[in-house]
Amino acid sequence: MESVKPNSKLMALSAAAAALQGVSGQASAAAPTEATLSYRYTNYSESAIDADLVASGHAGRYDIKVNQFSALMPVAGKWAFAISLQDETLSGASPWHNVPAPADNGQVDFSRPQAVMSGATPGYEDGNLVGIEEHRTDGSFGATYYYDGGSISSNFAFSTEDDYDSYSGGLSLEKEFDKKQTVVAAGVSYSDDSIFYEDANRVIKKNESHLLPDDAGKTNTSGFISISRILGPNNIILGGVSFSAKEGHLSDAYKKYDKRPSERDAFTVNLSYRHYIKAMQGAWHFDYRYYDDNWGVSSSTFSVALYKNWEKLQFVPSFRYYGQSAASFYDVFAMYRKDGIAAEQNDGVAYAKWEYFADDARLSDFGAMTVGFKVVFKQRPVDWVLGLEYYLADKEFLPGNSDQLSPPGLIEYTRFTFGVDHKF
Amino acid sequence: MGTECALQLAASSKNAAAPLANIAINEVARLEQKYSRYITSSVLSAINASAGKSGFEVDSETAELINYAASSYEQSDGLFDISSGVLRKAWDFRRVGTKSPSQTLPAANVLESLLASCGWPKVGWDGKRLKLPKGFELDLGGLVKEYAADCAKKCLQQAGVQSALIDLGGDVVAFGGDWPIGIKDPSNPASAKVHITLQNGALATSGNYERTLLINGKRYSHILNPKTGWPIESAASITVMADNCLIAGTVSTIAMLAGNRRAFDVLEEFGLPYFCVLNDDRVVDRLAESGI
Repeated sequence: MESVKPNSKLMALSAAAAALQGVSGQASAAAPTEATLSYRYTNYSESAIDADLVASGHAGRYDIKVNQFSALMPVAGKWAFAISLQDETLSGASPWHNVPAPADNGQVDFSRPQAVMSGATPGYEDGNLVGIEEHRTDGSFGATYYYDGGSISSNFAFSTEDDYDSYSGGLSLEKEFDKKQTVVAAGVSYSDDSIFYEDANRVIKKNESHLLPDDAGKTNTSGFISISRILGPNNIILGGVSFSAKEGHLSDAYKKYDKRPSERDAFTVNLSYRHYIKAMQGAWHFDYRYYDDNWGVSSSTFSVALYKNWEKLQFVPSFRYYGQSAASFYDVFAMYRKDGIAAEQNDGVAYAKWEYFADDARLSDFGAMTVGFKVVFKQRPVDWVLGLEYYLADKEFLPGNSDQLSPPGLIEYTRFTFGVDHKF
Repeated sequence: MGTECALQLAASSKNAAAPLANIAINEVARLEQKYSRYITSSVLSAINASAGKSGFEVDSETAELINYAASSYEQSDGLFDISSGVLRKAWDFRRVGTKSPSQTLPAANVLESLLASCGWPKVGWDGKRLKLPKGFELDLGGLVKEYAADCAKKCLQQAGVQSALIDLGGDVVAFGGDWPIGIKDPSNPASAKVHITLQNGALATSGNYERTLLINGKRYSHILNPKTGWPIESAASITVMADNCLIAGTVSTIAMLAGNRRAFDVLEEFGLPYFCVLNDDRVVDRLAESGI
């Protein structure tokens, strides 16, 4: 639904025109008529972890810079080809595992988890590679064929990192009904990933509880179906469901105590509503998403955004709330995890008493809020885009979790985006 | 359609082309018979004859056109109004041309009484049944030519035509080829102000060069402001490009109706490529900027 043009006046007229027999049903009506060249620069920066949440290592977290080039080319009115190339550099540290904070009497305090970090800027500790500096290259190619009342798309993508390769492909169909007032879309996709250490001997802060096999990999098979309906010129509603099945080595290779099931099946339901208000020259976007998987994680996401046009400018303030339950095998002290026994009662004796365990904060129960602001300056044929987003995750953002201490791994980030689109 | 029409299409032979061309010509003729104000047997004439009576139930195609007109009224803040045709009675356009002598102004009470007989919100419309108050008339002249061009395209495509250019008096629809199109020079309508190439899409032009009024030395277009009944002081011509001709035509008309001051705001609001010739012959070309 992100592709819905926020130019609501034109949208309203187009919706009314599409209802006309003589106008609708023309071949390749949905095919893009203009070629577009786009560039995006994104700087994603995680705030440093609080010093009192760090047991050892550097507090600086991930910093990711992305350069992306993409092109969309319509051909012969019936085809559109899309190419995208992306280059990403990632540096910084992430939690390796959690330990209870030391207490005065030589004991430890299980109510205060602290993170042992993987290391900050890349370098060597006693001759071993400790920091993380990743370089990732992504590419994708897609082709869409538009026929009378629908379209068929396929795409292929690859991604390569120093310790990760991924290949994926997908196929999707879109069909219009009821004079284009209703659009049904469905698709399937598959990805095959390989996981390895760039130099296993020199990575010391790796997974010690679920060793990475030589041929480690995982696959993801997914499918979706969605339906969108124009309810008059000012309202659009969309609903969809999707399923995904992941299989393979799903444990994190850079978490010390992390052993996850080899299958993860999930389904998602999403509902969207777009409402244009003429008097304010703007459109409200409301979205809700429910996610549930067989690891015990279920989540809800509520988003609201306002697309407000003013002369050649478009302003998009947005807010998103996210809340999830923890995976059934999550424990902030995964190393002491034992069936039904709290870490402090287990006295820190041993880890891995349980089949699966993880202390990854992303598998904990937490809530997160995101505020964003985007400005688009439409200076035909060039659009300039500036965006800023701030994200904060906290255990207390989840209802019923007040006064609970967040695991040290939860993040706070800002994301800055600059982009330019040139249409031909 | 009361204007010059042209059709070009690609076919395997000259013999094959004629019956294909007839499909489009018949479609345009069908719509003229159905929606002309001047044809007494037209659906539109029947609608207008029902003014002041209990109402008139329209067929589905007409209902969709009326719905489109209602949406255009809303999106133009009331400038695009199919019920404002009666205002024309205050002004004698038929006697005037580009070099017409000065007109006299209509008496204020004439305009006032005509204004009382128009206004889309006063028309009853439930999606099927039209109820025109007494003295009201609908005029679909601002829609039908453009709609006919879109319909002709659809008919040709359904008949298997791969490439064609349909031109109904400057309302142009093209598909399947690089079709050269000249946009008329308002100060010399026999020649083109600019030549462009249209592959798939539509162009519609609203201009004051076809019929104008000269009042107190000022040139006014034949397009009347439905709120005041007065001709609008507008650009010489505004051409808009869109996926279909109906939208191109509506947006160019709304931009003309918005008058000299607001025309560009309106065009930018709709965000479609356009080409505008001002009265002093200057040109604002947002077709070239969009790469056409």
